[in-house]
Amino acid sequence: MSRSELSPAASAELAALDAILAGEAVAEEHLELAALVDSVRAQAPAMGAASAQRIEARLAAARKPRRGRIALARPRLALAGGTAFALVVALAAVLGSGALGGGAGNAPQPLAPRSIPAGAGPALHSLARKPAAAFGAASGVTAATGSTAVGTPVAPTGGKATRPLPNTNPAGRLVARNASLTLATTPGQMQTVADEVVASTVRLGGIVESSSVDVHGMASYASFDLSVPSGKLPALIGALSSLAAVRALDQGTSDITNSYDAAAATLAEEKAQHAALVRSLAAATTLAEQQAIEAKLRALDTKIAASSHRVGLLVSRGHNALVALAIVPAQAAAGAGAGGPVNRALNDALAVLDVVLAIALVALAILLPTGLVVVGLWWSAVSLRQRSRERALAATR
Amino acid sequence: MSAALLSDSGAREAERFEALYRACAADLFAYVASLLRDRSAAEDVTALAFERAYRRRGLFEARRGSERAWLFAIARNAALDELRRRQRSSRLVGEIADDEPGFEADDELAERRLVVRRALATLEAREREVVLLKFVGRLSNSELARILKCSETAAGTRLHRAIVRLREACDVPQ
Repeated sequence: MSRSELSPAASAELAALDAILAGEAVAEEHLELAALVDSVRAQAPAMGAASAQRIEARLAAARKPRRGRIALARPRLALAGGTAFALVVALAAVLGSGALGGGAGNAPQPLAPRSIPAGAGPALHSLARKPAAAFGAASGVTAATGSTAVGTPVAPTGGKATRPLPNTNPAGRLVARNASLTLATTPGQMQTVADEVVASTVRLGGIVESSSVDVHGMASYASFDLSVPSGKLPALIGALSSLAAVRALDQGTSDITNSYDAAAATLAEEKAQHAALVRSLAAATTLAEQQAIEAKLRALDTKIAASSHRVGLLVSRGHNALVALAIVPAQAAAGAGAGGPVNRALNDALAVLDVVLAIALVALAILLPTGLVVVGLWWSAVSLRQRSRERALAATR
Repeated sequence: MSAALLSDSGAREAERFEALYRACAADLFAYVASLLRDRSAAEDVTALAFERAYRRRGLFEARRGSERAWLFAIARNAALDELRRRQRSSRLVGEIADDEPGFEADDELAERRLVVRRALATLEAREREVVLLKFVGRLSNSELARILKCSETAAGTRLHRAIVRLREACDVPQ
């Protein structure tokens, strides 16, 4: 017992007091203290037989087991209940956030197209401009790029963004839509995925303009130029995204109304010239005059054919979207359906661990602040109550 | 008294609780009645303290002190709650009467009891309480410290000061 702040005499007296209370003999100098202890104990109200009976009766009633009472101690019950509640909330939060669906590692996930922010995207930029540039070079007409938008790569885990592209084809405008998609799959799955690409495109009313599939282990590569009706572009991208892990997705639009209007005006003018020449030919009186007009008509026919083709191309670009698809090999892309049962089991186990970790994190995020608040409130309540008790004691006389 | 009196479960638990009751009930009642100066309220608080101890027996930790000290801590809180209620209702309580008057045959002892009772009444409530916990509850200084929520040294100092004041009030030479 530490009594460093007490005088030796006081310490000795307290030691003697402990001895007195323990029923041990003490020195003569402490007999007075022993008498004081006896007096204090004697003056205290005795319980008496009647009081004892009443207290024991109450105790006997209180100790009878109550039916339906939970045996757990209250704090443990509260702790268990709180933990269970937090876990349920966490599970609900995880399920609601879609983490369970997005945690399958590199397994193919359907990826619906999303609107593309303005920015630099070299692949799509070139894809969007290539036809117009080629057309411009051939015809001498500069293609209107209008509202050309380019995209940025999209993470393979994509999620479930199903928001379609905004309507970029308001009344009276001709809009070309383009997309560039990169998928990753194992070399062994490359051909299967390529076959599915073709099937999906045809199923949606599109055509495979060109394709190249080269399977050589990790050097395997496949590329496709696909064309589908513009309205089917979101569905095609969704279908392609479900075939393998998505490495990148770019989308863009280009307003080609001006180009179309210019080409159509040129065609109309050429047709008007053609009609005028035909009339002149009918009115020609000399052979030389007829031959000169016929030569002009032949040249004009060539121009009209070219202009008609140009107009047709622009109309086609407005009605059909172009998709440049690349399939690259990926060792880690051996998701569900690829690899052996051990690989699949490993992926499943990782996915489960991923979900468990997500639940644990959410539970922690809920439990920690909640626990701190509860502990703080509890501590405050206990302190206030204790202070109130001490005040009550101090107020007594 | 065994420190593990309340820790076991099963059939012997009731028997052990009975032993705790027999060992502490009289002193606990005396302490509570001295604090409250009301025999009826003291009965209630004593019974309540044992009820709570029985219900919370699973929470008792032997390393934090004896069961007797734990029981007195529960009783103290219950008694102070009763004092709070009483102060809210402005209920006045007078001197407590002995349950068995005439028991004290020795006039000198009776006189001495009266002197000590009056001396105790002159002490401050906190001093009176520490004397009661020590003399009636027979608790160690470390147990006093835990109940009073202070250091053991502070508890010893507070106890010694209260004893000195009590002696002075009794006019007992030191």
